[in-house]
Amino acid sequence: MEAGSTSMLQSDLTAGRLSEPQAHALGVVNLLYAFYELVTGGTPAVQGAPPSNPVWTRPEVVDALRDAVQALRQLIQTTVEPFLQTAAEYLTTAVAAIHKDNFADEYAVDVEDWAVIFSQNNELTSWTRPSRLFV
Amino acid sequence: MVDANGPSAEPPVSRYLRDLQTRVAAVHTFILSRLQCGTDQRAWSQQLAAHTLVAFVRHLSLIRRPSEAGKLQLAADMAQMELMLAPLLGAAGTSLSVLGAPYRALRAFRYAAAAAGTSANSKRH
Repeated sequence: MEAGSTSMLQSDLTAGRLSEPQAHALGVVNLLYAFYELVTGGTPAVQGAPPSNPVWTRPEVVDALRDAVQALRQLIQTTVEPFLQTAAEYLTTAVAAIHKDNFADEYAVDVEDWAVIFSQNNELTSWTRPSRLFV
Repeated sequence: MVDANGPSAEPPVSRYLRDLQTRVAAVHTFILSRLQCGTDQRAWSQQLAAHTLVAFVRHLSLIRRPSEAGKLQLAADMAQMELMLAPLLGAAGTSLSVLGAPYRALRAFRYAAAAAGTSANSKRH
């Protein structure tokens, strides 16, 4: 998914569909993950299992596999992150519909200075970049 | 608020929660259900649910002096929030209780909104 397309994704979610490139991007994530599982599940050096073939214990092979796994993780993260971030913003926007007017109607509460409080709170609740992913 | 189904013991969920419900369903249908990424997918679902809960509780915590009707509405919305997120997490093989602090905050807020509000109002008046 290209940078800057998160608002487009939000519009598409609102409209109840995904564009073809977005659907393809999700397919790429699945493909990358399947490859990741193949690499990490099929190679003793990455698994940490006792190697049956001495080639897996060669330092250059172990290093190359670790690099490959790291690169795959990075690719998955890069591809899926915009989707997760947009989804979080999309859901937060709905929560943020507790704005002054309908909030007063729904709960019959005192909402003086609400606009200021709300804007501060909204900053607090903005999506922090999902740096915790893949840890 | 007018209930299209007539009077009932439980207040209907509010407009914004209905909107949120639609959006949660969209995220589930168009993003999460299309991913097949094992335990990573579970973690992503948990992060999204936790983020939604935290934002929800923070906004609710700004309510001041809710009326009795407002308290009932709050309780209904918080209960609906749980019902709404449960399928999203269930599809990823996890549950609300796994979220830890965000979920405990929601549960605690339900009691606080019902109980503490009463004593605060009685002190104020």
